[in-house]
Amino acid sequence: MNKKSYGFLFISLVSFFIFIIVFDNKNLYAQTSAGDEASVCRDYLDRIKIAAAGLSVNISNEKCAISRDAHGDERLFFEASAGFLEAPELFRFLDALFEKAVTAPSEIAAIDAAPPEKHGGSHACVFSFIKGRASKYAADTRGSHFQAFKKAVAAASSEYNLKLSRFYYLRNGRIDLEGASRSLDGILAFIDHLAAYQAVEKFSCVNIDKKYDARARQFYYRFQISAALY
Amino acid sequence: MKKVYGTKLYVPSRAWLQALAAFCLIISAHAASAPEAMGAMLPVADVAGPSHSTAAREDSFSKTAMAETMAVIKEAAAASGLELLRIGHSSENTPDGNSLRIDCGFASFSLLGFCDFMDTLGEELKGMDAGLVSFSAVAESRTARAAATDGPARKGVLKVYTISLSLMHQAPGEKRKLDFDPSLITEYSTILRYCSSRYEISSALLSEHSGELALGGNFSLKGTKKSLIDFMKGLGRGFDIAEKGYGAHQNQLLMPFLMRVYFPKN
Repeated sequence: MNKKSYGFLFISLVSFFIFIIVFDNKNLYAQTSAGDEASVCRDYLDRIKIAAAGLSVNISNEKCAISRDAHGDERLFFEASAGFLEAPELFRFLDALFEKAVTAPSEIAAIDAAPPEKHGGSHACVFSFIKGRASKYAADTRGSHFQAFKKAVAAASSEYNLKLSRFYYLRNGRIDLEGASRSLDGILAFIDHLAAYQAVEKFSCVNIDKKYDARARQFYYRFQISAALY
Repeated sequence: MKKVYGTKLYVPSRAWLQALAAFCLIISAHAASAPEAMGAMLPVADVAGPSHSTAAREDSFSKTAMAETMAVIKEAAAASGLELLRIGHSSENTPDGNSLRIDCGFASFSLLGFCDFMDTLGEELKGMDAGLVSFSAVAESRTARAAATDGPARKGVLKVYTISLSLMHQAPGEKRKLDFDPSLITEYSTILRYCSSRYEISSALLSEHSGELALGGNFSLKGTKKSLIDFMKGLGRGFDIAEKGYGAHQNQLLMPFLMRVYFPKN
């Protein structure tokens, strides 16, 4: 073997090892230092506030944490609270955050909107999302689950006149809706609508109870619907 | 690299070829040990595993049948004068996904309304693998204010029946038989209608496990034990009546009894 062959062999082996080290790297920010991780967190937290600017949504309790998934890969976990008056305002904000690629999350972890503590107050929504290695997450289901959740909430309040008090989305496609209505027909029609909706796989729990509103001196129906999405 | 004799071509040497072969072997071994990297390039449906058309069919049955059955129950209750208090379904009660269980609660001033409801339900569910699993109707005395319903205002102390009911609906083509015969709903309604008009029924319970119908009421001049025995002949698989002493109410002699009617199970 002459000197030229040794040279080619040496260069090939060095290139191979460099390739393996980069390809098998489980550290999301291996080439960056701890200071850069903090700046990435700050950058995304700023993007959350920029998305809320101009909308009637108040952002508070922003958090960013670096965690590891079951495979040991690093990922960034973001969580924040958003105060809003109406559900459409919240979804306009979440659209700006998720759909318009302001943050382009790998996965939406949870969206939990709770009723206001005081009558006439604003709703509080705690949302969280994950930024990680995009190849590990099923990008198709992420977008379709969020769209299905958004459509279900919009249909409940605008098409069937249901007053939603709480709506909840969990990763892997679980949704939960709670609310009230004067008419049982409206609730059953909404359940029929969800049953016909292709994105809904099955109902985990459906409960409807008749209650009496002493202030308004009227009966109304409270409902809770939990479903799994495809 | 070495030159082919007589030409100007250069071919790789043996060492160069061996190094290239080792490189390819290591790359293929690494790719085989990282299936998730390969899986990420495939459509999500393929990554999920084999086709789940059977599971999709079962889930489609459960969600559409639930919506339809709830609508049937609501219409039957409204037509029979029952006040629907609650209706619900939980997948925990039916983990296999091939059957659907719905629980509901009503309030009514009379058991005859409940009998009308059972008749209507029996007609709507005819031909489907569905029927009553269990029910309980218990009479309670309430003041007119506590017993407020959507109907006209009433005064004094009222007797209100609190009714709980469970329905089971099985997917079409399901081979496993239901524990009960769905056509028995007509028999339950016949017995309850006769007894409630004569014997001041205070409670009626259909047991899910044993399939027994237990009725608690009072014999009186209006409804005697003999007439009940004559009526019950030929109904169910058998029955027994236990009397519990006697009492007086509003200058009327009453003899409480408990009747258990047995029905065949599948």
